[in-house]
Amino acid sequence: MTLTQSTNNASSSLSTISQQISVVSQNIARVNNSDATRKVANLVSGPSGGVSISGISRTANKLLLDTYLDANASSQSQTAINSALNQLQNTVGDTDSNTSPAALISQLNTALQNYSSTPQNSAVGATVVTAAQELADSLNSATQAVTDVRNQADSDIATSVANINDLLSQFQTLNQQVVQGTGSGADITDVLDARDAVLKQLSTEVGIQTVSRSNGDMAIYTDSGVTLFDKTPRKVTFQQSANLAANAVGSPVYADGVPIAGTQHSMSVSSGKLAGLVEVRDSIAPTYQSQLDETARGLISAFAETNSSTTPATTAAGLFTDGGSSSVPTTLTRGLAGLIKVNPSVDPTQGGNAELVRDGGIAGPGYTYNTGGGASYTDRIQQLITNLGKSQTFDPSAQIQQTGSVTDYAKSSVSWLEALRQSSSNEAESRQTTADRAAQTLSQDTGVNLDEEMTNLLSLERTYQASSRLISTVDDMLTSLLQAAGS
Amino acid sequence: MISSSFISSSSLTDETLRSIANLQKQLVDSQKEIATGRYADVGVTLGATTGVSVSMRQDMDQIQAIQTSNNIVLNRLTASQSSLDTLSKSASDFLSSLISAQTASTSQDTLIQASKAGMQTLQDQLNSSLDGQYLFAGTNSDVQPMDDFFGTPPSQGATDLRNAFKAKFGIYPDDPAVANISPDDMTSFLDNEFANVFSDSNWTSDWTHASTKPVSNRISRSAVINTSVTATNGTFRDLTEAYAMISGLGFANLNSGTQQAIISKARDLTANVTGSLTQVQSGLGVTQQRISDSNDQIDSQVNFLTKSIDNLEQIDPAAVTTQLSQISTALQAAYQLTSQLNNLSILNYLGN
Repeated sequence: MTLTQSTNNASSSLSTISQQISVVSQNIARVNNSDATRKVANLVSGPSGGVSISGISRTANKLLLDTYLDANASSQSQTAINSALNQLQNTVGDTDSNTSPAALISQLNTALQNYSSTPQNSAVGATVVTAAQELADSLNSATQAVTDVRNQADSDIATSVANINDLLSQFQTLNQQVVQGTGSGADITDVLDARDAVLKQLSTEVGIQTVSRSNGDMAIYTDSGVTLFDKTPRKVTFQQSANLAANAVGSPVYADGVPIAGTQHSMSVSSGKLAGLVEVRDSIAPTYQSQLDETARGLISAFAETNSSTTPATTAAGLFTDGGSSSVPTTLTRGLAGLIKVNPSVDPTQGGNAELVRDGGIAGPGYTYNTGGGASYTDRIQQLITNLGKSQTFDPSAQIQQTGSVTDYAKSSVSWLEALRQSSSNEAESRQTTADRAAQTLSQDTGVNLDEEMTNLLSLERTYQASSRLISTVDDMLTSLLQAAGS
Repeated sequence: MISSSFISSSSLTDETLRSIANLQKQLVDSQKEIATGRYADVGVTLGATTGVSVSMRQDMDQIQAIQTSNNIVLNRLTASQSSLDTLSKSASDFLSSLISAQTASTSQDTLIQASKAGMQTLQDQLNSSLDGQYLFAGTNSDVQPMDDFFGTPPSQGATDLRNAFKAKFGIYPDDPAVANISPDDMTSFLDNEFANVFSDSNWTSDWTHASTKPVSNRISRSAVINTSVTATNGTFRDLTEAYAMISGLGFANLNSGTQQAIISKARDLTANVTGSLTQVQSGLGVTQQRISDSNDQIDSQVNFLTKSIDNLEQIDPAAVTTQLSQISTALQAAYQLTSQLNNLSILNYLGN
């Protein structure tokens, strides 16, 4: 009786060990998968001393996972903002390269000063026009860059929304398997891992919160509380814009019919790539655009010409025009920086006369300042230099100084951008570190350690040997007994 | 099976990977900083202060441009001064001829030659130009300020003078009958009709094409000053008047009393002119001085701005070099660690 029992125990041990080795092999296979958790076979001892596997459990840690989801979402939003700011920074360049509108205004000033010392030389006058041309071009291309950044953000939002919908439908499948598996008692550890992996990917796109229920079911809400998944996925919708011109507004993102991003709403998400992209598209890029527009307006206004022979005196756009129009805008005009150009009547390459910079009359014959026709008349040039340094009023919505010269204004715009870039870059770095740390902690706590698995394997091997030896020993004993009885 | 100090294998390698990536980024930045001597990303390092740097560069561009234009203006002023020197010398020579003519030690031909030479020198010098700009033409710098008094056809001024002479005496100055003009008549002519030919309005309309408006230039960030003398200046008129008395009124044929009346007038005028020419020259000299002072100031400002920009943007080479060697040491350690970790597996010790 006892020998038979021993054989039974040993054989139950052998079958348990082979199951345990199978778990160890699963763990080893996933040693480099950061989404996989460590699996443990739960052993129970039977009433007569035998062992069996009651189930497989995994070393999940909900708290650490939630921390990671938060940290990842918040890092992703800042990364999106930071990369957009780096793109915008190309419009400014390094301080020692003359590529920013601020530096080019200063170049124009230099050209005017040179012209004032040799006003009789129309070739020097042409350099003023060239400097003005470069300045207008830089404002045009900066506007293009801002538009590109906004369009890119808009298309990234569309991609992000598509990802969210895709991930939610994957989540539905996995969640059903978890609920069914929990009910039937099947091994669902791999499905749970896969479901957590989907959550991690989802947190990259949008900040989320999860709620677990007793049957293994899980519901997902945005960080602002809008339902993304509860039994079934909710539809996240977004209408991508064809082209976001300077004055165009991008469409909002809806989840379950509630606006979650892209419009003023109390349910707006605050983290995840989506939140960062919307911030870029609707706040940062348009503000920078306003600054460029106001710089352009300041230039048109500083170079405007006055016809004092009429009553009241009329003012018309001079060296710089709003896309060829003679009017001088007095308020923030969205997209002006994209339209500003040098008046063709002063551009020698377009059949114009560069000497009009010195004489005035770019806007028309009535606007001539040098009525005597002197070749060394410098009053108008001096006036233009003074105008560049003269205080003007700018729109407060552009978030930088409201009064100051156009030269100062362009400089402040550089300051604004770089200050934002500095804080955003620091913030992105610190959030990235937090997210890395959270990922690290999660992985340390729930991941697989190869050494440990190998050690387990060794001890399992020994146990297997011992159990086998037991069986053969009992067999030997029974053989001896049978032989003794038979002889 | 779960020990308290558990660590997963992937987190062990991930950590090293992340630190290597981070170190490599720092290495690239440090290398760039050492090569350029400036921060790798000036904008991110300075943040809102970037505007200060931009603004200082704007200031520097502006004052350097002013300095360049000041040098051009200085060239023009030096050329003007040298013309005025020549003028002044020929006026003094003329004055000595007049003085000796009063004591009759000089022949009238010599005096006439001296006046003609003086007039020509005056015209030549007032017509001098630099880089396509007539120095004494004021803002009208593309037009030669003086026409030739002796030219054919005669200048408008010379014609006016002949007509005034004809109106007064009924004959042209080249008529030998001028010998009959009495000294009193001549004095009256000089005081009235002749003076009228050289009135301010006639001078600017008939004698010179120069503008009364001198050329002005910005010599510092705030100061715009006049930087030329124009031919419309009364000094040049007076000198022309004195030369014209001898060379435009048929001096050779006049009787000696009338000649003396003219010589006396011409002497007084010329004596005044030599004094006021000095004033004109010293006026230009003051302007020259202001411009060189402004240039000196600009030099020190540029110096200051360059230093300030460097203070903002430049790295401390010693610090960055130290940092660079620290980073490379850390990087080597990280590589070493990676290879050590790779060897440090239980698999290497499970003998089979």
